[in-house]
Amino acid sequence: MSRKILIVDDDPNIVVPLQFLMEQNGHDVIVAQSGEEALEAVSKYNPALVLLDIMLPGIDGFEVCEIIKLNPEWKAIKIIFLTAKGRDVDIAKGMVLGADAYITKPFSNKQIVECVKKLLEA
Amino acid sequence: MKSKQKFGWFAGIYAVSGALIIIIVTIFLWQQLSPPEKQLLGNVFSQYALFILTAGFLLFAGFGILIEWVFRGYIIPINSLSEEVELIYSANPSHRITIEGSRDIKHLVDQINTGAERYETLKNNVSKQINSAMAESEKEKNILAAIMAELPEAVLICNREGQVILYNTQAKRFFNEQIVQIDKAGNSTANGDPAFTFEEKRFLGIGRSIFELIDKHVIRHALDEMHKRLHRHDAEVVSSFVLTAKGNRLLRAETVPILTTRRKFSGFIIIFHDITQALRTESRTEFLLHSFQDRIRRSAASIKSAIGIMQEYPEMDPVRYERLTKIIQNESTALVHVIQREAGEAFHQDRKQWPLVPVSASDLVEAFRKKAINVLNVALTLEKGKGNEWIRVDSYSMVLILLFLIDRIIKIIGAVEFFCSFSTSDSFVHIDISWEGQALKLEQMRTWENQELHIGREGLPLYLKEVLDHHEAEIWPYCDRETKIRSCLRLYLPAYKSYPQDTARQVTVLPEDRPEFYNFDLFHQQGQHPDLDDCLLADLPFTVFDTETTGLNPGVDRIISIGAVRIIKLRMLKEECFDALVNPERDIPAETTKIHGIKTDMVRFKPGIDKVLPMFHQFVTNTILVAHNAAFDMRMLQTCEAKTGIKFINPVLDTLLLSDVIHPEHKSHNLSDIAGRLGVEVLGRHTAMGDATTTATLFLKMIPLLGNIGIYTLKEARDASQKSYYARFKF
Repeated sequence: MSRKILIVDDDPNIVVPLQFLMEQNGHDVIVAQSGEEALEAVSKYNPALVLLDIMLPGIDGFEVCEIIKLNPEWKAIKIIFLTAKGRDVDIAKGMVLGADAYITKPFSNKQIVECVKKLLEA
Repeated sequence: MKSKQKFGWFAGIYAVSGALIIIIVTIFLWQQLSPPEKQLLGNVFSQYALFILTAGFLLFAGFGILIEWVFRGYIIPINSLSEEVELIYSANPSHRITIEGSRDIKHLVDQINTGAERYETLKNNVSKQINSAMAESEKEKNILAAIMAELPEAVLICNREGQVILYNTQAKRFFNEQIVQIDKAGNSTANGDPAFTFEEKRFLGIGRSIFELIDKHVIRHALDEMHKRLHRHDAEVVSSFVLTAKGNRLLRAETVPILTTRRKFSGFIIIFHDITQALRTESRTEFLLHSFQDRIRRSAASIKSAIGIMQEYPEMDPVRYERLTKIIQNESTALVHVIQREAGEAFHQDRKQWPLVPVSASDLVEAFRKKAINVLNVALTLEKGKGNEWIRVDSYSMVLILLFLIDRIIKIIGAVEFFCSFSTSDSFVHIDISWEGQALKLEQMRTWENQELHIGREGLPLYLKEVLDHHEAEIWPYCDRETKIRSCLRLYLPAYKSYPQDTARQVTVLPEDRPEFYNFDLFHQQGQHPDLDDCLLADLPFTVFDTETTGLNPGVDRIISIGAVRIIKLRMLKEECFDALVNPERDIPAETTKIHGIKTDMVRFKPGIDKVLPMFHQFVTNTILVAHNAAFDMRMLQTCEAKTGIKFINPVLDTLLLSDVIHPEHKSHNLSDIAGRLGVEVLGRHTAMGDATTTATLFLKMIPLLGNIGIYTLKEARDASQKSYYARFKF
């Protein structure tokens, strides 16, 4: 199953392995480095899933998530928060805003791959 | 009435009544006479008229001289004698009577002077004993003062009305001459609100109100919270809050109640800790910790992911392999840097300076409801919360956050009715503010984070994000997906599971007797706004002041110096004085410089009256003004009204008039003569501060003398002054 995945992170050192991992699992990968770029990419490519960091230049990940989930056309896009923010309150906030999963860094490649697979099959 | 006037009245009445008696008797006799007798008497009178009139005049004059002799020899000296005797026994035992009069009076004066010698000796002996006891008491007070001064914390003790009755040096450092901002309605509160129109200096002092120093909303909130806990018999009754003081210092305050033996509230102690530096360090530490954690997580994620890929796909192309190797190298170097340079700095810091106190969620939302109604005038309905969860918060700042949210929702959405509830989930307590209408978006809330918490007249100079971070709290729009009737904003606070009671600060309960080494009895003062006129002079707060001017014409001349000292409970507070030179913006005439010694050069770089008078106005707040020849000084202050906009409406007493009330027989009531009469040493004559201090000492001596003639209250003193002879002076 090949679906488009949008990776939103401003740190190339995490984007590179993630992009490789997703490509190796047969997905088309689009990369955005800020909240604004992410929304543009969503609008342009309509990805099936977004791997979303929270701390981004400009609009942060929470806001990107809210905007996507409030838009009826994008509501079906799955969102995984992939972030270093590991406080309970951040996780709670992410889930309340409509994220489908919240994974804190550092994560295992297997964890990401399985989570993506599960959400895309749902 | 003075003796000379009495003599005048007596002589007049005597002459008129004597003449009337002679006329009536003559008319009566004349009517009894037969016509021949009348004829005979008429002839005799016309023949000897000159002799009869001369005899009559001599008779009147003789009686007049006799009366004057009696007055001068006996009555006037006796009148003066009573005043002089009172002076000896009430104010100045060294005073000796030197009245002229008859031999009997002189003998009496000698006897009184002999008695006065004995009285003075006796009084000196008693004074020595009293002084010795007072020195002992003073020593004990100094020990307490030294202990208080050595405390690292600032301490203020207030009575139940909020008047300061004791403070230490640290408190003076934080609060004396504190600049506060005043809004259009005259309220003072925290810094930063655009509604404020001007700044004012506030003074810390005995008898002054704590509400003048600290935002009254903050103090009331703390007192309400403390009363609630006392009422519930909580183990911890201390209420804490943060506030800003002089120099934008951030203080953590603990309010501790003082209870009587019957556990009735009789005052409170506020202990202040300066947390400015600690909080800066704490904020930096928190920032470093978060940043440290984030960077480790990020680097670890990159390394872990890259290694995983290299293990899983060993056959990948060399370019990609090289890139992943480079990522691992870079991130490993970054990790080492974080651990070596930043981690050490981030730890080992005290992170407890801004206290978060356990509060039940229901108490917090109830406090919020009351504030919302009072401050924002909105309808806020509390919906029953689930359970009674505890949270750890600085309750005042947390209530401000909730008010801040409602205030912003009103401005953005226009909602008018709100609902508040709390619930729990896992390790959180949620406080929900909901309303019927449009929902908020994160985008709309983004700008709030860096806004200070100001709502109406209440506020703190802290950012929303700063306070939220300190509480590890978060806010975001919450949508109840089941009902969807209301929009909601949810405040997440970490739930507090245990409530340690062993650290509770002990409540101060007063002993039956007065504290052993601090003999203040100011806990039972009158209300905060007593009916001043009926107050005893002994109970009133006074500011005794004097001005030095460029001349004696209030319409033309200007103030060049103001000196003032406060009197509380018949005690002159020499350490709480006001002494300022004023630039009159003109040359000071040489002839007035000879009197007060102030030259033009001395005031050239001093502030003008527009700067000094607002400070002086604040210094005299809630006190009775006292001055010698107050009419002149008050007139000088009045002439500055137009320029400064400041009006002195305090009640006024004049020691010149009071002296005349006490000693009407004395001709001179200038400061030096009164001081001589009352045995007061004059220091710094014709300097504003020196004259103010002398006047204050004289005034303190006058209060018991006024009591001797039945003048006890402010109104009685003012009424008596108005009647006095010198009241006719007008400037």
